[in-house]
Amino acid sequence: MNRPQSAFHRITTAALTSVLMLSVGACGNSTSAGNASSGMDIKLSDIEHALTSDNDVNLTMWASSYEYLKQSVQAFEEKYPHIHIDFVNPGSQSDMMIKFQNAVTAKKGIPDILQFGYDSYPQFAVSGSLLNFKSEEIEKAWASKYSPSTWQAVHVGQGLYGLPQDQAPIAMYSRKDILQEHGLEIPKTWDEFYETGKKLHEADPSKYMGFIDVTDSKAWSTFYRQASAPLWKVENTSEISLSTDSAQARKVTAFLQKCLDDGVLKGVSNATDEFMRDINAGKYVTWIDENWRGGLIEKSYPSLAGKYTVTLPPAWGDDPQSVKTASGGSMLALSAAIPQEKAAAALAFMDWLNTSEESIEAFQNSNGFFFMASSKFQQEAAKKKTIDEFFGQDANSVYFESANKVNADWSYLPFLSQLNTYFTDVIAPALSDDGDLEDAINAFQPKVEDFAQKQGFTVNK
Amino acid sequence: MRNSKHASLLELTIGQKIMSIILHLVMLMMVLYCIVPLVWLVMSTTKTNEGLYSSPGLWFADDNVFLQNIVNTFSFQNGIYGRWLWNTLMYAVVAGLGSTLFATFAGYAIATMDFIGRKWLLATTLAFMSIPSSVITVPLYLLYSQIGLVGTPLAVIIPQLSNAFGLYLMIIYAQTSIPIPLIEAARLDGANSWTIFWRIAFPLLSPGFVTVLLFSLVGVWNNYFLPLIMLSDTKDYPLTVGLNVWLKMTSDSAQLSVPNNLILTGSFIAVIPLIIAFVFLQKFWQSGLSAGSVKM
Repeated sequence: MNRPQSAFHRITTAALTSVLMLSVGACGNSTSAGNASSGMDIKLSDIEHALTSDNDVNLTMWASSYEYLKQSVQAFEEKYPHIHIDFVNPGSQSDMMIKFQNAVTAKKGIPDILQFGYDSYPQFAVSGSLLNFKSEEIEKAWASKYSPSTWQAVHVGQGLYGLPQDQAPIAMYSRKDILQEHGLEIPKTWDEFYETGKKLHEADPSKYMGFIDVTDSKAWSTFYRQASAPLWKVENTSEISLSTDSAQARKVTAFLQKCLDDGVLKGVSNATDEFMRDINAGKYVTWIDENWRGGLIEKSYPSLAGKYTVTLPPAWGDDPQSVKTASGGSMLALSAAIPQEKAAAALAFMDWLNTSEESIEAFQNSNGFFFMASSKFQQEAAKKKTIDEFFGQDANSVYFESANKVNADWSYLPFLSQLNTYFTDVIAPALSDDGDLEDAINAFQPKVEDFAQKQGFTVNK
Repeated sequence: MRNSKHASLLELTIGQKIMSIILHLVMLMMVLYCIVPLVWLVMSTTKTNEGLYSSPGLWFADDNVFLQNIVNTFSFQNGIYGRWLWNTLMYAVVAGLGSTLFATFAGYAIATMDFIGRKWLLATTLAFMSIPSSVITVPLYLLYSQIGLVGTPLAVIIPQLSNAFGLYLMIIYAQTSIPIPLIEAARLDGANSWTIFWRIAFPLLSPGFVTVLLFSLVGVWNNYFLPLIMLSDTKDYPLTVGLNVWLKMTSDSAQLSVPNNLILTGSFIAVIPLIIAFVFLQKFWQSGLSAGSVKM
């Protein structure tokens, strides 16, 4: 909806973000110099023992996907009654981050286990609010339990900060009816995408091939991730590299500029009433987003059934087989404040919740289809062919293919909120018909660099 | 005859007539400005999720699902909406009524009694009126966190029991509506302070009391920032924060749901109690009770 209390909401969000950033800044300065070291040495045998011992343990967990995790958590408590989970629904992901930061600042009421997005936890990892439980032993035993790109995504630099829960590979949702009307095909490469879009916009200037969401930096940076043109890299908890002006990145920038100039792509916020109406009217013919968006499209526009087709997103270069994708999702992390005697039990619980057969089953029961990061789930579920009625095709197999092609060589900057602020201030305005994207990105990089340095990071260029 | 009948009414000049028409037009625009969003809200409560985006905003969609929306709003996510509605009512009644009572006590005391620090209290009240409540919310959080109240409803109720604006209004109102001789007369008759307040001052103060009560009810009802910061469990949330949780679902991958029609129906239901409060309390909104009680 068009955010009813929008002005007020924006002001409070701005106020909250600045509070958040101030506190993150304060922590960042003190810890990044001394690096966020592994505070605890948790043995695999301790973790196994935690499930079989009869010591009572109370754990507090905050997770936004409360409704979908509830059943699994219940199943765990029934199986291991000595481990009690105080499961709190903290509301939306962004609200939870603010509450966590406040609790850390106040040093009181800090939960033990938290659910984060892969892109949102790094800022808490570098500030030392999350526990790095990396050990040779754990890496060896657990890495193979998860899909490789999600296992990579729970690391910051050399540290291990969580266990992957679900994965959200991107896919392209195309209005094939509109394309057919104009005698066009679903594009397989970005060059085809451009050509198709140009023809479409010339034939019907009210239509665009696609859009770039300007709400935050995610959609924009995904173009670069797909093109193997990293905009930045997190080397470790105190060092980052910026490369928004590398030759490869500039190629992507020039392509985006071309698309914006010729009415192929349009910069627009995907969270407004107007946008929802435009989708209904078919103004944007493709929607490239994480796979959960398919479910949202289905629930929001039941009458568009049969009009959408799901495919992999277009590939860079000429070979559609070489396509690389991107992925989001969420993970479970441990607070750095968790007492040593609880940590092993917490890890045992997280491991069970994300990979055990019973838990996977409970997830699927409560949600129909939950794209888990567990490699066991992915291998088994990929074999099942189920026709999705809304799309009239086996959409899941597209998602699994996309999950296999995720470009894992990507890291999230450990100051997402600030990055998004710079994005909305500097880059978003340039994502319009008369903007200059390269100029905007040239103005964007020094801001990010300056902020990172003030946080105590070493910045390479 | 005719002249004497209308003798009390003033004839308007041409200029005044034009001004009157312009004023009415401006007022009409103001009314439209306030009514249109409400009409949109009411219309939206009758639509399905898809109907919201395929029909004109200020008119009905093809199917009218108003009742279904109400039922769904109360049953979505195990009926958490009913819980939020109850929380909001509870916060509004306890904090709204409480802060109004405190403001009335204090306003009466500052206006009619002479004690040490009276001037200082008045100045402090004025100073506090100029501080936006959002500014002190974060320090409040840290304070309440140390006492261990964060995450409990008390952390939302206690800070809202103080209402600088209400206090100031009550001071001014008490100063103008309570004649000091009346209190002196009552004291001579042997009444103690408590009796004087409830029997004599309070009836005189009631229009001011109702005004402050309405303001603080609306204030607590609509407060967003404080409960957002203080509470960590959605089952303690009031409607403002709770509906916003639903609103964020639309773009939150963790939720996989689009309850837009429920958010709008929920917002609509949330407005109703305030409208009832206004209509019901309006009749107490009369002044001039004390006219003629003291012979000057």
